[in-house]
Amino acid sequence: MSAIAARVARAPRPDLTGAAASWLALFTLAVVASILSSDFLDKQNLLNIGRQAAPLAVVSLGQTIVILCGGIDVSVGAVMSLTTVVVSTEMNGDPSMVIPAVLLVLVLGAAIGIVNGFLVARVGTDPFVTTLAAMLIISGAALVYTQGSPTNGLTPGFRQISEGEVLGIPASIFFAAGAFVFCWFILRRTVWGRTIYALGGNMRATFLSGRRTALVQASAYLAASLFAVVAGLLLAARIGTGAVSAGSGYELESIAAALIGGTAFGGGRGRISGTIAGVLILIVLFNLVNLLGLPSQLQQIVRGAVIVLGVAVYSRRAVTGS
Amino acid sequence: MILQVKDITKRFGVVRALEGVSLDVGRGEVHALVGENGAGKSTLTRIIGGAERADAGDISFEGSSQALSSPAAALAAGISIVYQHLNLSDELTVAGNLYLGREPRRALRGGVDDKAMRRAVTAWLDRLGAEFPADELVGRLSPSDRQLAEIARGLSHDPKLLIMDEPTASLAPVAAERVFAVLRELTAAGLAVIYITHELAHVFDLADRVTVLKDGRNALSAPIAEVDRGGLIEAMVGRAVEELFPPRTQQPDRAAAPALELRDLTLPGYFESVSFSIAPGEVVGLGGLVGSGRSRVARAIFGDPPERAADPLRGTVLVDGESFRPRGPRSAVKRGIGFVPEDRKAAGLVLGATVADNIALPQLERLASFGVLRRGAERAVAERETEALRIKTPGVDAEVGNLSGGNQQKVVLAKWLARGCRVLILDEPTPGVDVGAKAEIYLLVRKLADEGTAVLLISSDLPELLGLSDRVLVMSRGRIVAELEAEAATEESVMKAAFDGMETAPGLESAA
Repeated sequence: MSAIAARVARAPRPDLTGAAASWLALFTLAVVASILSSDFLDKQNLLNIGRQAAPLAVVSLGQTIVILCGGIDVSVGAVMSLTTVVVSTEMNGDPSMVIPAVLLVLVLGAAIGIVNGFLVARVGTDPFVTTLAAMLIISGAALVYTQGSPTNGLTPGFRQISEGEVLGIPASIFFAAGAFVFCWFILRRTVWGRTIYALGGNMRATFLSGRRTALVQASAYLAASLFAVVAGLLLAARIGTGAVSAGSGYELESIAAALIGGTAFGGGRGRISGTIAGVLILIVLFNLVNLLGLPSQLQQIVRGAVIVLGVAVYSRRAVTGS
Repeated sequence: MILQVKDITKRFGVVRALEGVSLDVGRGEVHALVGENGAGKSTLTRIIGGAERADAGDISFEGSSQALSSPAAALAAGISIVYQHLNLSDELTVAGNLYLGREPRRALRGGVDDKAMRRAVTAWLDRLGAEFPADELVGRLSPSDRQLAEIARGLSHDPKLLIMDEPTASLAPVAAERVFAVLRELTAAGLAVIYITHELAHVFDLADRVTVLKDGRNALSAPIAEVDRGGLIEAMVGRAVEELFPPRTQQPDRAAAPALELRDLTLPGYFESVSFSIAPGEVVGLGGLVGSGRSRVARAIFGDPPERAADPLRGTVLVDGESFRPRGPRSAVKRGIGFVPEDRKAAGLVLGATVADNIALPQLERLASFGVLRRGAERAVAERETEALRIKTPGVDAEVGNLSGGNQQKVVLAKWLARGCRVLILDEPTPGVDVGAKAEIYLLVRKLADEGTAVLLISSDLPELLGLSDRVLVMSRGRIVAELEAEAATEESVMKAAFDGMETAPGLESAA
């Protein structure tokens, strides 16, 4: 008994160490970056990092929800791509079409999330395979829809959601911050969020406690898709065009951000503050590759190395912590 | 003496797991090692098995202290360990598991000699009375059969010293008897056994000597003839436990409308025509062999059918006289039914979550307004229950996985006590729970019944079944074959009914 008491007393909230460690890593990285490149701490560069980080942050929040409940969603990148092409095509330069176009992509995203969720939670298909298939179907549909050519129908007003500034700060950062607060609230303060964590920790025990496991699990995929649509909107506004490959890569980066941030692969443990740190670590690394004038292909290698490092640190922590 | 352990001490950080512990085991001796969870039994076995090193003290096996430098060395020297937590791979056959890493080779091409392997394994399985073949996948075995396979693996190393950690925790009573018989044969031929258990009856059945550990120290070491049950319990808990089972202070009012009633409940392939009722305040025990369908009945009432059940549930369930269709745990919980499942780690708890989170899980809606949790209310409930149940935890924010087995089980109970229920179903409430915590759990069940809850108790632990129940029903092959009043029921009468049922009932072939 005393052994347990001593161990628990030392680490009252073990999952906090995950997120805290990620912030520490980010801070260290920022210090190193500012030494390597004098441009790093430049105000414009920092705002640029924020603008780049916003879409990834939003999609990673949704991804974290799915991973927390024991799943994974690799279709979010395709949903982002689809969002950019559909919203720019439907908007077609007409300011009065902005709101209908946004509503349309939200409905599309919701439909995709519901199908993913239904398949995983009710039919019982494997999350990775299911969302991988969804990714292929969505990418194919986007290609058919656009015939492959980029679409340039975004209105200048719409682009303000990323390019506009409030108090000198890019608007997209406010959207990402809003998404974070919303996500934090539903995960930490609601019955739904508590059920997400419990599901990821032990699905059967959660089911036998009378929770609506299938519904909550399915809704996690719905949430991930909707977050991906919002991320897609921010991305479209930033790059100024709709492209069928605009969101590719975001699926892996969002997973990487969640894992680097200390969320357990397999579910049950993790904090979205860690995910934000994970997002910033990735973006700062990419930024550093650019600032140092290294070949941009290096970003891929950096990306892979960071994922492995993050997962390795996480499993090391899991081993020593038990 | 084949094994001599002298004054060993082991610390983990500032925690003293063992403090000057000594233990001698002779050839042909069964040495029982007992103590509450956390007393140091597992640390001691890990040291003997070479998995840990003692900080101080001497330990020698067959006169040599070199034998125990690593698990491989210990195994080579003739020390084999059967673990409580199963260490078999689901995807391999029984034979493949038993010979994992030391498969017999074919003479010419060096491939695995499956035939020789199967033959050797079949011999051990037959000897242990196993009813499954050597080439069955382990993943398809029942918990009891897996345990038997684990024991077969321990024996297949042909050890000189066999260490068994709670070998019968998930073993059906008949299978346990068979294992004991084999152990007696082997010890007569010189095998030494260290037998760790919470089942005091087994200690007296099997052991020649017994050592009690308490808080990492020797509390007692004596030939079995010199101790009695009371003495053992006292040494373990450090106080006399007068009565493990609390007395019935109130008689249940059986004339009152039953809190739970089953009429001809049938789940084809699992159980048939099960009818009984439980009055408010009554504890009804459901006895019988593992696989007789007891757990299936309990899970059916709670709306948790087996995945492969082709046919729907037939018959009627009534809660407080009103018909209730068990559609799922959610509807059962809403109707006031609580369920403590058989396997607390797999089904009872979210181990990575906190004590407070687990306790709140069945009643999150009540602790929330418009879906938003009221954290104060949640904490208050958790604090009230941990205090009422005397759950030993550093706080309600501690992870449940870090608590001892007995305290984890109390958290499972706390989930339902906090919510409050009309009917509480307990499926094996105390496996792997030390005697002190057991007594407290029994007290709680009795208190709940006295407050009017109807309790359905499933237990393979016969003293528990008889000590706690007001009435005992015996199931065999998916049917209820006997109903015994508490005063009339004995361990013999329950087992007799269970076995008679096996022979006479027309019941179901496999009701696992």
